[in-house]
Amino acid sequence: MTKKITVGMAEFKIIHNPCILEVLGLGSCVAICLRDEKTKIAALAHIILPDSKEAAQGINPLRFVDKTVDAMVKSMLILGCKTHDIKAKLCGGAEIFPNVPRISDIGKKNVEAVRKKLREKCIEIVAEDVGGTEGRSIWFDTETGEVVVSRIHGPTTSI
Amino acid sequence: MKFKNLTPLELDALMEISSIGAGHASIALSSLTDKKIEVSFPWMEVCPLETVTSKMGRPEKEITNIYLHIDGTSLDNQFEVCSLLLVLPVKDAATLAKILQGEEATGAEELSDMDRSTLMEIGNILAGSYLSAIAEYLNLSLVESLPALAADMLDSVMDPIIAQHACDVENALLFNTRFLVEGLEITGHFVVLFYSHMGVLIKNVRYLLEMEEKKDD
Repeated sequence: MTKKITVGMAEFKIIHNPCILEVLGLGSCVAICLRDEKTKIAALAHIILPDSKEAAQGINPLRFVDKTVDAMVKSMLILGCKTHDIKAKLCGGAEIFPNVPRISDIGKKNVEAVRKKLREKCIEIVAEDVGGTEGRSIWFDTETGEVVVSRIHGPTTSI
Repeated sequence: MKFKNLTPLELDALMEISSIGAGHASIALSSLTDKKIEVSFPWMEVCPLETVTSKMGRPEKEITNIYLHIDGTSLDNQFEVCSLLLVLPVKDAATLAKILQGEEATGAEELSDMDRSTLMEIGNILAGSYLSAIAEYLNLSLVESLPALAADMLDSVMDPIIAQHACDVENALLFNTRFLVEGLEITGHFVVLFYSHMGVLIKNVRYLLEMEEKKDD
């Protein structure tokens, strides 16, 4: 059986051997799945907020889109990946409390920040399952690049 | 801001203040429903934001989360103070709501609109009681938002609230919370996430501890 590795909040994992990278209970956070089609090196990150500029000193940089994507891409290039072979898939960014203006748009801002950052890095986004009002769990198969998405109320899909 | 270095004495003091809040909540809920309801916090923990949900159960556990945002005012300035959360497994939340409405618990795993408003009221009372207990240590007047409720997977519901605090804090206060209603026990969690005022709270708690020590001498 393929090995399963869970990626927690503000973590990122980079994998060479085929395995399943999973994120359980994804709300307004976004899971960024990157995979090099040639070398099959893959990475998954679980980010919380769009921008590290507002962060106080000493806060874990992997909570933020900008620093995390930098770290992911850098690590993949060091391992021999080429930018044009890396393809991205995004999941998450839901509106969990749609009636609370203060926190309802965090998901949307996260997704926009990831899209912008990946565009800067010239990495193509090949699939997305983002937005909505429901939490998701995802399983990223690094062998095939397939991402399976499940919800509590609703069908399981794959992208 | 890091609070890993709280002494056992300071933790005890925080726990004691919070227990007073739980006591207020018991009285308020009991007189509202005319039933004997006891709210208590059996234990408390200070844990990093990233791991707070893992202390509360499996990431995919179906829970209800009642959320309130608290602002503080001082000399005409208004600022964010903390977020308060009451987290209960969906089934237990439904049972608690039914009992408080004076109905038989049906064991349903879905919440009706009536259940939702009952639960938001419970969150409101618990938050109000907790705040009245800590307010004097903060030297602020506190303003509660309306409660909001979401039911979904544990981690996904916690996401946007943790995100609110991810820019400036390291830790959360996690209280194991027990409701005892007519012999039935329901346990969940009460979570307090400060913006930056936790420092003030701790400082004042420390100060009062020192005063008490002096008194004892």
